[in-house]
Amino acid sequence: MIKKIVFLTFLCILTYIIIPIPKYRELNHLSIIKNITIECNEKCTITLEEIIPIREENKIHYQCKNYQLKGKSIINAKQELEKKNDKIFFYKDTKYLYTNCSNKKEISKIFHIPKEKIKPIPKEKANCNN
Amino acid sequence: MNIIKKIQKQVYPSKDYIFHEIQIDGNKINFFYNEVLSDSKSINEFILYRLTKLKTKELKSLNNHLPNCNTKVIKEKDILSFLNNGFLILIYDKIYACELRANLDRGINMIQSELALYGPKDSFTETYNTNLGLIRRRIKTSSLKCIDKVIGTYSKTKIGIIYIDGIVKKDLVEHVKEKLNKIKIDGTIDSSYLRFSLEKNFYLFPTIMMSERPDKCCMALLEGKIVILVDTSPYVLILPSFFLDFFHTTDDYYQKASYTSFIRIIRFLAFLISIITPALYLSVTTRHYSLIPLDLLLVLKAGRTFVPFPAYIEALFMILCFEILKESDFRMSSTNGSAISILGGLILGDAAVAAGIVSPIMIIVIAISSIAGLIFPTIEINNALRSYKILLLVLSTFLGIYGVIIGIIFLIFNICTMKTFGYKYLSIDKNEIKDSIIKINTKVKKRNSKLTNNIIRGKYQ
Repeated sequence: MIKKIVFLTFLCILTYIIIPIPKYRELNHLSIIKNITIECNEKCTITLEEIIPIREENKIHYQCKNYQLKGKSIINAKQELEKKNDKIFFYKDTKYLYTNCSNKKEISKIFHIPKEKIKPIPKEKANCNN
Repeated sequence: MNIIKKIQKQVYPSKDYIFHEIQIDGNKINFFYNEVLSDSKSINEFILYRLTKLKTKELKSLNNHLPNCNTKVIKEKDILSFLNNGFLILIYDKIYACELRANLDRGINMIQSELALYGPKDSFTETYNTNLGLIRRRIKTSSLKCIDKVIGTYSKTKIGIIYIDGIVKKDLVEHVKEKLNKIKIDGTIDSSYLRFSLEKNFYLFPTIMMSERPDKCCMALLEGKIVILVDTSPYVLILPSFFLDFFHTTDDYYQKASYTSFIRIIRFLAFLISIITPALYLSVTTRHYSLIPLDLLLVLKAGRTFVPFPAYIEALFMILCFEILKESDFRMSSTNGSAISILGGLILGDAAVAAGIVSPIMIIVIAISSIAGLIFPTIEINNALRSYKILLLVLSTFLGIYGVIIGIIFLIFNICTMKTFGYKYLSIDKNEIKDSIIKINTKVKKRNSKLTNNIIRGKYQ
């Protein structure tokens, strides 16, 4: 029996190492970010475009909400934005990240977005209907 | 006379014990019975009518004039036992007990809980002899043995240990007898009482199967198992029962092997769905969003827009509602039951979603999980599934997918370490591997080598 319990404990620890336990957050507190715009001038301005699905009878309508904040750096602006809004910003399904900054590698790391999705800021910014 | 007074004193103040005295040519004959347990009409027609026509000479051989074939000469200490079993007690030169039981059973009815598409439709009743008869009718051999026992200080319930001599292992019979001998209980109202005494309490999964199907019992007996009959209970106990036995139904043996295999795979999937679905949904929607495709994530988020409760409260609330509905549906008649289903399932569910108390996806998840659990014919496995479902839900609330995996490891560990009457609960014998989850028709059908030494069942082709 002791052997079995030791094996079981080992298995649990091994699973714990393989699978991380992310923080508990309700879906209501999750902001699914569709597009990101980062303007780097004297200060960094981050604009996040959230897509909000709303169920109405038998249809789902999509609305957009923008979050904007200026910071000393990109990380600073991002942290401030997350602190200010009691939400988790979900970047995994972000379509595009528009920026005029040159350090794409750093931006890719901060937002966990592949480099291919990072584009220069167009004249007319992407909106919800795209 | 002394005996009569003693008995009267013992049964006082119950009025259902009837005492009579008749005189035949100056000879006194005392008789008494319980008017509830004995058939008064038969007493009048077959006993009183004959006794009054007897002459003094014939009284010497009274036993020959008593009509019932089940008339015994008994001892004084056994009087109450026979009296409470519906016998008429007659005292003249000796003490006679004539079996004249009243018909208190409901007859052989249709199966109610273990429905099958094919196969016999008769079910066990509350009468011991009828149940034994239903088995003997199917297995017509003197090798079918029945050991009688009486359990219950007050109930004096008749128990029968049934097995086929030559198939069953003697050790198993002795083991069961030994366990039954240890039971000291005031009353055995149903076979469930015995099950609790024979099973280990800390096991969530059942190790003894309860059935009201005579055909299922006979199948088990032919496999080398033991069946326990309990008087006043329409459910018999089949032991030992293994994990995979609960995935099998009698229908599996009345249909083609391919269809049986398909249904068994469905049952196995239903088993997993029933346990895992709510926990997996909860962990994915509260911790592991990245596992969900964007389109589905948006749909899930839309469903939860107006729900004020956390997802785990919502899930537990829905499970609770479903259990209440199920319980009320069980207790009600079929007419009221359908009304409850409509009210609970359709109206309340729709209203709860419209009011924004629960999300429609959560209703779907809990409904799928609960319906998947109902695929099993026995209620005991259903209860085990519910326990594990709630356990995994709690674990997933605190630990996410890691909790689900821990729960599954615990479940597998639990099933693997369980034992039923000395046999491993999860063991699949090499002879039965072709009749486990997938069924393959074989020319020679064999028995489980752990249960019997008589391996070959027969050649089918």
